[in-house]
Order: sequence, then structure tokens, then C-alpha cells
Amino acid sequence: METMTRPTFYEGQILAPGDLNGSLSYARGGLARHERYLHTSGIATGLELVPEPRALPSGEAYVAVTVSAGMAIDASGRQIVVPVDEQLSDGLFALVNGGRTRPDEWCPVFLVGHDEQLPPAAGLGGACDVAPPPRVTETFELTFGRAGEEQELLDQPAPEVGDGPGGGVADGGRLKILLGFVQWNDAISKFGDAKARPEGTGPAYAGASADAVVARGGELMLRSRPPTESGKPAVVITEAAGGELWFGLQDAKGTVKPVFRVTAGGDVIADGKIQGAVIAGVHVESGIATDGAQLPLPNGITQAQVDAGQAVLHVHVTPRFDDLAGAPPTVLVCVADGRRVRCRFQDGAGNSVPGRCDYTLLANVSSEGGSSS
Amino acid sequence: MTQTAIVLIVKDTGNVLATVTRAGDPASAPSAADLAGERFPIRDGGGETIVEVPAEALDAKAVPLVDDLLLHPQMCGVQDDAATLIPSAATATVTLKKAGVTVAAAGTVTADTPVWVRLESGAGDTRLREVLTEKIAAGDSDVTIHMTLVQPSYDVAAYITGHVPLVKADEGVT
Repeated sequence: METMTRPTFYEGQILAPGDLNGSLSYARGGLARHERYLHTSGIATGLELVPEPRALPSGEAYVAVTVSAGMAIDASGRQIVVPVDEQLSDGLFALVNGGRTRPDEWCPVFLVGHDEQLPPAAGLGGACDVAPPPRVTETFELTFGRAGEEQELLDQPAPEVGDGPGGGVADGGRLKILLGFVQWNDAISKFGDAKARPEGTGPAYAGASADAVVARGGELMLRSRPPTESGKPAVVITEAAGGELWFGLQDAKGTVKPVFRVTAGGDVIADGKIQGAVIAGVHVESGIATDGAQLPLPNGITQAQVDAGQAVLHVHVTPRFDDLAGAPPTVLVCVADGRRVRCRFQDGAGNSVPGRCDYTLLANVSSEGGSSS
Repeated sequence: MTQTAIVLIVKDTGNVLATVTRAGDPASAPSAADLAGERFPIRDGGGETIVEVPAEALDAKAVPLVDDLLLHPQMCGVQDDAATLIPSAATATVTLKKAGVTVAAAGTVTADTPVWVRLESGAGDTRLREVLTEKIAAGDSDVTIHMTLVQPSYDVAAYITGHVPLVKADEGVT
């Protein structure tokens, strides 16, 4: 490949078309390389599939599917602009997939950008009677694939490093961007439904390729949705309180209310529970239990750990002499068999009835997965 | 004392079998299997285990603690996430016949009322264990579950929503 060159000009130069086109190509190539290598391809804004329920005169229901206006960047760095809402073509789908699509299958909808040469407009030659220059339209197609074809998007060819938008890619640089999926009713040759993500795969949105993201205002945020959508999760690195990492949900103003914080001093503060790997040491559970119940294990300790000998239990039960029943109960038995409580009191008629006890259960967890001492 | 209790209940009927409170995490209910083990032992007035209720028939719920859950756990029922003491007059009765099991409520029920029955007979590994589920239809006071009972007697525990359970050893088949 040749070294990158850019046109330069001097005073009084007679500009040839190649000089001007070179300026444009240089700028377009630079922008495409930026989009390609510093961003990931996908939808930048809009381009949602909007199904609208309709019915044929015979009464059969179908949907007309519109793609909302928006912009995307393909894998070559080409910007694809859909300036106004566009309706998906039944005829094109029938041509591509008709007759071989089951009604329950979800077929992908792709956006493809490409350039189209327009011939010079006749009669606009100007004073010097020079033919007006041709124009290139940066256009697009809304097309379809077979069910499952969206899985092949990752295998699309990549342009060479120096290439501009769409350049160097086979098939004229027609790289696909997934917008969503449609179902097809072959009997009436109409769309049955449209969804962005009917199963696991959904539209790709443009992202950033970066090894460092640096904030300028002292606060860096990652949001799952725009800041105006309340109740969506976000992560914040903030200089507040001497430097903290937050996770929480944002409100309608984009403010994040943290439920999990890590301070600069290493303290972890969580509103909820911390689960997962159990810290070695003694874990305690206590309370009241009635006859027959198995005592609950401390949070994070599992029966599997007990069975494996990683956690050793120490259980202590004491008949509960409270003032609930008036006179103190007559205790027939109050023991723990493993975690199971056997606690029986005698009622006024001499019957054995379920009793209650205070319990303390200690789980001694070893650090190495073996038996604790 | 914590104000939340975890109750182990018969899933179909809401009858409480046991109550546990937790000082550290009162509102978090362990699973029914964790509180019951494989089977929960039902004991009679003599303190002997009569039948065992399998964990899959049980549920564990966190409910506001009331004294009766500690005083008389097995005379309480849970409905709408609250536990209450069942009046002792509302006691289930069971009649075992060779052609079926009849479970009767204390009176006519106003809505379809779930019934859950455990029958056991024999000893050791060959002990027979049956679970019967049915509903007493609205307007009726009992329901008969048609089956063939071949043993001369069974240990039985019968639960009806809103009723004190019946637990009886060696109930004869007539």
C-alpha cells in the first residue's frame, strides 16, 4: 500500500478535479479510520424498527414496519445516514426470503450503506459550457437476511488500514449493520411482527475502542441508558468524598443514587448483601426455633460446605422460658440433632406439644476448603 | 426480639409446621428444604414421629411475628402473608375406608378449600408413604379421595386450609 498523501496548494494554482477530490478523500479517509479504529460499528442514533398493526380487507392482520430516521457507522467507518423514516419493503423481503421462511422465524433486518454515482444534470453547464461535475450520493439499503444470518456479521471482511469508508472491501464495501428482526407471513406476503431483540441477539450500537477514558470534570460515568431514563443502572468514578467508585440506579435527572460504594481507603459499603465466596472464620446465626425445624445456616454458608467439611457447625439450644404462656413450660426434651431441633413441652393436659428454644449456630469455616480446626 | 418470623408451611393449605426467627437477617427466608431437610417430622401428642412431610410439599415464608407462632406453631395458618391462630373448633377430621379417604372440614366451606393428606403405613424401608391432594368444593363440608386402602390401618396427617390439622397414629380402615 502507498504512503498516505494529502494535496497541497499554492498561490495561483489552477485546480484540477483530482486536487479537489484528493482533499475530500483525505478528509473522508481520516474520518473513516477514526470511526473504524476508535469506535465499534453500529447504530449511533435512531434506526428503531417500529411495527404498526394493520389488516387486509379480508381481515388478516399484519404489521407495516418502519425504520426510524437515524445514523449508523459500519465496520469500514462509513457513516450511514437515514434522513427520514423509511418503511421496510414487503416486496424486497419476498424476493430475498419469500417461500422459505416459517412464520415463527425471526429474520434479520440489515442496514447497508453504499455510494451511488449520479450522472451530471443536463443543461446546467454554466457560462463556460463545461459539463457540471457528477455527484455521489451516500445512500443506503434496508435489506434482509435468512434466519440466523446475523451470526455471520462478525465474519464481515475488514478494510485495509489505509482504506477510506467502504474502501477495499469486496462487494463494493457493503457492510451490514443489524437493526432488528421481522417475522413473515408467507400466505399474505406481509410482515407478521418486528422486534429489536426477540431472542439473544439484538441491534449493535456504536461504541468506543479505548484503553483509557479520562474525565475532565472529576467524575466519570458509565450508563446503560441515556441519563434521562430513570431507574437504569450506572457506574460512577467520582472525586467526591476523596475518591469513590459507585454503582446504583439513576433518576430522571441522571443522578446516580449509589447502593454500592468503594472508598479511596478501601472500605466497601453496600446497602444490600454481599454474597459469594465465604470468608474464613466463625459465622453466627441465632434466634428462636420451634420443634422439628432445621436451624438456618448463616448467610453464605451452604449445606454442601458443611457436608464437605469446609464448615463445621456448633449448635446450642436452650428451652425458651419467656412469659408468653404465663407459667414456665414443662420441658420434655430440648436438643439439636445436627441442625434439627427436637423441643417438646408438656401442655396442661399432659400432652407433648411443639416447644420453642433459643438457638445459636456457629459455622467455623476453614480458609483452605478442608476441615477447620 | 425480631418482629419477622420465617414459617415452614404446607404449600397447598398454608398450615404452619414450624417457626424460626433469625437475629441477623430476619426478613430473609431460607428455602423450605433448608428448614425441613428432606422431610419434616410430624409428631403426635406422645411426642413420637407419626408421619413425615416431604420438603417439596412445603414452602417457607417470612411473615410478621405473632406470639401464637411460637406458642402454638402447628395451630397457626398463613393467608395473605400473615399468620393467625386457627380456632380450635375448626379441626379437620379424616375417615379411612377401603374405597377411599374422606376429609371433612368443621362445617360447610364458602370457597373451594385445599386439602393435603399424608398416609403412612408399615416400617423401615418398605414403609408406604402416600400424599393425597384435593379440594373441598364451595358449599360442601367434605371431600372423598377415591383410592384403595389395603392396609388395616395408617398413620395419618390431614391439613385443610383454615383448620387445625389432624395427626393420628394407627387410624383404622373400615
